[in-house]
Amino acid sequence: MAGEALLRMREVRKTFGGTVALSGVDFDLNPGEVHAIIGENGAGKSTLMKILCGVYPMDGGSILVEGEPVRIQLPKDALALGINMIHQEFANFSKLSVAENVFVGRLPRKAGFPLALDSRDLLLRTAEVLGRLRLPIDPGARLDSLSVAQQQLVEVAKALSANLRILIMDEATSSLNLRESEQLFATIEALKVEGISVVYISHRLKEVMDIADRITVLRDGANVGTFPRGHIEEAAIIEAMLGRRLRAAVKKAATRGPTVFSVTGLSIPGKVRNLSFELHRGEILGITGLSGSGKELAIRGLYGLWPSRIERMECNGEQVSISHPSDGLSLGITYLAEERKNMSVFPQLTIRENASVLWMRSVWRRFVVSRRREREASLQSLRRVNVKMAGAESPVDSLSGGNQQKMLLARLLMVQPEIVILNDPTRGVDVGSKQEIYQIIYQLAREGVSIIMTSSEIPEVTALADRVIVMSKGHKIAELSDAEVTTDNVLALVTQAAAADEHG
Amino acid sequence: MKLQNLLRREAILAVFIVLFVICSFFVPSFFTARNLINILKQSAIIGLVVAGLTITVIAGNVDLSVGSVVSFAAVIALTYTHADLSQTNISMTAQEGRPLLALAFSLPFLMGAAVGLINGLIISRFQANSVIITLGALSAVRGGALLVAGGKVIYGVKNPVFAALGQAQLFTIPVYVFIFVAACIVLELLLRRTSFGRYVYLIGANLKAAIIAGVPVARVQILTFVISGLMAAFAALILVARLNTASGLIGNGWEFDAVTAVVIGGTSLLGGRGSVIKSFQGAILVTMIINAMVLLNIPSSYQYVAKALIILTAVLIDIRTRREAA
Ligand SMILES: Nc1ncnc2c1ncn2[C@@H]1O[C@H](COP(=O)(O)OP(=O)(O)OP(=O)(O)O)[C@@H](O)[C@H]1O
Ligand SMILES: [Mg+2]
Repeated sequence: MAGEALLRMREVRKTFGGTVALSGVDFDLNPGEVHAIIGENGAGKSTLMKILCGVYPMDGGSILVEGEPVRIQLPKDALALGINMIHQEFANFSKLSVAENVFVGRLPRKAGFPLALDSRDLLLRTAEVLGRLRLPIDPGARLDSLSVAQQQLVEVAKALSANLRILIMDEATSSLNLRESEQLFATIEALKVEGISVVYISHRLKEVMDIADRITVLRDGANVGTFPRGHIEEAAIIEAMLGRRLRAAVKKAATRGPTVFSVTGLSIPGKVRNLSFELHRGEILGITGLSGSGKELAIRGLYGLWPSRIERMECNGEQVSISHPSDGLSLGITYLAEERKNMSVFPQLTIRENASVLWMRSVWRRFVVSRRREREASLQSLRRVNVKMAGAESPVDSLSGGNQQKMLLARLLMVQPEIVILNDPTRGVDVGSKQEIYQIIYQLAREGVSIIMTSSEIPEVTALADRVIVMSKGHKIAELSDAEVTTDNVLALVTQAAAADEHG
Repeated sequence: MKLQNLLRREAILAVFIVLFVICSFFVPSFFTARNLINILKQSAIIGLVVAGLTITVIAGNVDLSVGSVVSFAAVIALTYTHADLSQTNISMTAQEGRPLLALAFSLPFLMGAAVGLINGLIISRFQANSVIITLGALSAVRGGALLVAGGKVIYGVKNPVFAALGQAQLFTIPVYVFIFVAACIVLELLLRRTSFGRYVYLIGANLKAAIIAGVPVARVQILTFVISGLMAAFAALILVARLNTASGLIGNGWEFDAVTAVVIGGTSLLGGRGSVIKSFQGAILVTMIINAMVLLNIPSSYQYVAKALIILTAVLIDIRTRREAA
């Protein structure tokens, strides 16, 4: 195979201030290959790919495309070489059509009229690109009418519509559920058929083992091995990643204290119908279902983030209502939002300032903030969730994706909440840290904190929850507790409901 | 590496020093005590407006009504320290003296706060675009100023206490320069050391996340507009005391100069980043450039072009640093 590589990265080095992100990494990519990169949070995966895309300059090393050394200094250099990246939190034009998004910046013009948009041609060409990927998406549909997963596929189409040779997907599936991920994998297969190479970064090892032709493991900014498919087992990969065996979190025994919180008759027109549930002290309650089941909206509605009607809500035996997140916080309920970039992180501020956001509320009456106390409280929390950082005074953008997620958990823990609502608590977090976070969640529950959680991964819900509410089409279709809480049971219920819908 | 970071962080200061040295060598009578104090005097009054505006901008909004608030406040203040009210449209037979002075001091602030309150209420209630809302306020308040002044220019601060605000000196430097510096420090502390200040940054950096984190967004936004209104009124009082005159047209275009200083100071118009001290440096830098142009007898038409170039440069720098941070 030697000599055939489409891309070679050699001895790539990168430091940020005092942090060594990459210490001489080699990485190869063959034509039509799916090459996965895995590694702990902060191992340098995103940095390596951002260098390839011209987002960061490298400090040392070389990049060769088809054996020729190339200089990639700006994103446009990478694009010219056919290298494109799909960011996890991509920027698109949600009020424009799919076609306009795919061809943005390169809209076809009518012959002879350089200012006139040729919309027929635009739709045809978009349909052609979508067809190559076998995507059943209407080119004329407005982008915001699509699900996040479909929007992501539109991003792939956008990349493909230009000259594309290498497509990089950095944690593309981290917010997708099983079915949506499968659609993405089908799309990747279609790309392979066209001879396009894919670099695939993910923390979901199962899918990596399934789709990757080769797997490269990064640890602390170094390549610790590249393995062809089928030549390595999951446990060995994890050990290469972490440098140690995986320590699984010890599941807490299901307990059921007194009811601390209850919701009766939560409805969102057309989305959620009459959802009721109780939450007990020290309990972990999972809410799950496929996308469109209404689980996300139900949780948003509950916290005053989506207009909803609730017949009755009780907290510690008293009737309450939450029309705004601050009402929830006053009741001791904290909320981990489903989107990191849009709904959680404050860019340009430091890690400390990001972590102490909720804590600030608890000292708001005192007006003048004690810097020392803020520092101590943030550091304590950040350490508890083991955030890997140069220091709490660095900008939050310097944290790797998974470490930003951990920082957000630290933010919730800083205020000693009574109830915690967690949307996808381990999104983008590596396998080792995932177990650490599970351990923290169990620990919280043992201390008497009650937890409501969802996840795009059903196994995560069943791993964590004492009790699970299964939703479909806005209805609660089942409630499983104790030994019934298994992934198989949930999947069976969900598929049954889906099948029933198709027939009825 | 270290020096580079320092330069990036203190970019305006560096530009300031370089320009200062150049001007000192090449611009006649620039480097004289008189002229340097002049620069301070000229930047101090609008500097108060700039300092207040900075907070609004960090929260992700902009207040374009400040120039009009300056004129309205100036007209009100002068009207009430003025013995001869017959010049104006105010029918009031009060005499010169204490109660009138109290009004002269308090009414402008009340008006500034009220304008800020209304701006803030509308903008926070509807999350409306602050440019449009405060542009409306600019027009309305200017109208109010012209109405009260009766279209005339009013002269003569009769009250000695009031006059002192503009005339008193300390070490040959006007007292209001010290007031300006003190105000900047107080506002900077408000931003850096209080929960209110932190909330200003949070709202500017990510409004949606701030709402989810339970930040009292409306209250903080309203307060930022009240502060910019109050600071504009404060500037007006000193302006009147110094110039000894007021009219419905005074302070015209100050919103532009103030926004320029804020942007030069590195406060992002998109919010979430900035500081009063930096805006302070920005204000002095802009004043110094204009001052040098005046000394060089460059026609004022070119001064407008120069301001445009300055603001363009600052915005480009803002975009660049933003890209590097991303
Ligand atoms: N802009 C930056 N400034 C400073 N340090 C940075 C910056 N970007 C990344 N780093 C640091 O470089 C290291 C590698 O980060 P990178 O984002 O590549 O990790 P990653 O492997 O993608 O992790 P994750 O799985 O969490 O996304 C981390 O220690 C991170 O803190
Ligand atoms: Mg990453």
